[in-house]
Amino acid sequence: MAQSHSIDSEIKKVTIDFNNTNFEYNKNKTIIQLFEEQVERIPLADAVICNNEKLSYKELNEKSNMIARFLRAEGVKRETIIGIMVDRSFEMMIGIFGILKAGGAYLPISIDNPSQRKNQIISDSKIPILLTKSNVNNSDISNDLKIINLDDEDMYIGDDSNLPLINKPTDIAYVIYTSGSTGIPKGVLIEHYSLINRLNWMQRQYPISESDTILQKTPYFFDVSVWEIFWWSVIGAKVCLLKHGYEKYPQAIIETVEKENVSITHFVPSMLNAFLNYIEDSEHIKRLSSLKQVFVSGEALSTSVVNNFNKTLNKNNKTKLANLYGPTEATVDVSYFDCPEIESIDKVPIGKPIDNTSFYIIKNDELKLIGEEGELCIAGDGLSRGYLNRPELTNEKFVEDFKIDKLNKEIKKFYKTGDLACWMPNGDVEFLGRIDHQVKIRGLRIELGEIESRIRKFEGITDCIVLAKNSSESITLIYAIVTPENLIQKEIALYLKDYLPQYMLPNKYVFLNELPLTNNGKVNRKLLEENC
Amino acid sequence: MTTLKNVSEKEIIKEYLFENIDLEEFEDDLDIFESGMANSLFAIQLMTYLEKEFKIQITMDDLNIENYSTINSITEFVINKKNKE
Repeated sequence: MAQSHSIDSEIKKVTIDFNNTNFEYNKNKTIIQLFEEQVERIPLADAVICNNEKLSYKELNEKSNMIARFLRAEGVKRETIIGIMVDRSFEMMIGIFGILKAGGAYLPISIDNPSQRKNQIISDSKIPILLTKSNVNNSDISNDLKIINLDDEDMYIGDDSNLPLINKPTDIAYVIYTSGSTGIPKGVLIEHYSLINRLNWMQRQYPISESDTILQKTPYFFDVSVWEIFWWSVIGAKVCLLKHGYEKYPQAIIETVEKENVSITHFVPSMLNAFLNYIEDSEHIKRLSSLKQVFVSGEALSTSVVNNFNKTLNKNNKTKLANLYGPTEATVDVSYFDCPEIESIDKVPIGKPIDNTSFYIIKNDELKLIGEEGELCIAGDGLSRGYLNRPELTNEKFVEDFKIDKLNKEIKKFYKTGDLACWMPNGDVEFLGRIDHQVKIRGLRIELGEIESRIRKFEGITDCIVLAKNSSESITLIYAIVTPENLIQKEIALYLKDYLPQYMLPNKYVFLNELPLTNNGKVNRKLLEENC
Repeated sequence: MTTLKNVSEKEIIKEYLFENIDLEEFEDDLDIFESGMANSLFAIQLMTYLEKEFKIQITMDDLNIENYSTINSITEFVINKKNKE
């Protein structure tokens, strides 16, 4: 009797106490309303800084209003998905705000994508309009859709006042494609209120003011970019756009932070590691003194990176480091952990759920308690509506009406992350690995299955296994193990270049007559991994 | 004299790349990024090393990946940089 009582109290702890995250926010507004309130309040304040030029709140508002009017005249309605394919520039911001003001949802497409992938995303999403720029090559777009150049002066004429609002907070705001294990990337639909909840939490936890500047350095087709693109705009702060392509270089980041007094920035942990090694023992640290807060997400954060951060940026500049975690399917981030500044830690958890978010750790349909490993499942206001035009996949990943035995409680809807995790006694969550073959390379989410199924479509290939393996601290290599033996590597590589972005291309090929199997007839991945 | 100096710089760079990149054949003009053997993170690691080893300062104007993509181009970049400083 006493034992069952303690189990009950522990179930209560992990389902209720650790998930005590209810917090009020502007649930009845859209992101555009919040931005327009700031335009009204501080029209002449700087909003966007890019390559020594500036746009005020008023200018950004008027330009995006003109784009929005044009889009509405083209028939854009609530939830019309509009593609945008531009470099990091004023036009990127004007285009995104313009699409939202028109009532649509923006779908960011990388200008560096191979043409097959661009066309795949365009035809999967059925976008009627693509916003682009004259410096972006769009000759490889084969679909029948309207292409508009955002740097065409003729776009910026006519009425520049705010448009009547047509959206509800439950309308979608953006669609971001992520790697799909069956070979085709999938579009994740995120609604306005989810985005507002995420931004509101961030402002509560790490408040910024009009004097702050956020560095926008994450490519806009990854969802980390979403808070960089919108957070400042609902507060009255500024965003500084890092020169396109220069997010790879510490020298460019240092120079931009110093020049524009950037106070907030984000890194993927592996990039932060390389960045910290670069600035170590040098004058560079002084040049970064305006940085107040650094966020990391996208990969597991190691204690050595935290220690290195504390020895450099924290010790000299009092900069703080927070570890965020979340899948695209739950609106950017769903948990946070503030890294300790003095005492050393033996692991870095992904922390506690953010506002209006609940975590459940589940294995074999059973709720797991403190210290027990299981799949991390997320419920709450951050949940995506699902995948665009993929009802089956949506039903598989977003589970509805899940009953927790012994607790007379039902979870209305949760998302299965595929991440293994466990609760720590203090309510933090520890990340333990993946259930499937999704890997992260430099923070980029890659389904090895997507590479495999694309390779299998090449004529003559009978089977294929793709593995990722670290070859050094900074290099992770993708291995493609292909059967039969007599194929030509160059031809396969050339074919893949048309379909997969650079970061998903195999670095090494191994040709075998047949794949090794385990005793129960499955491909022996472990053996292959050891021999690569 | 200059030739001898260049050779030694080239040798230092070669040794560093051999130690840090898992590659069997390695021509002086092989593009380490194009060939997929190195990525942008390695580029940072390499630049960090070059600045310390050769006491040079890489600035925003030097951020052209071609400067760092082959044994030959890295050597040439380092020598030019040293001559300017």
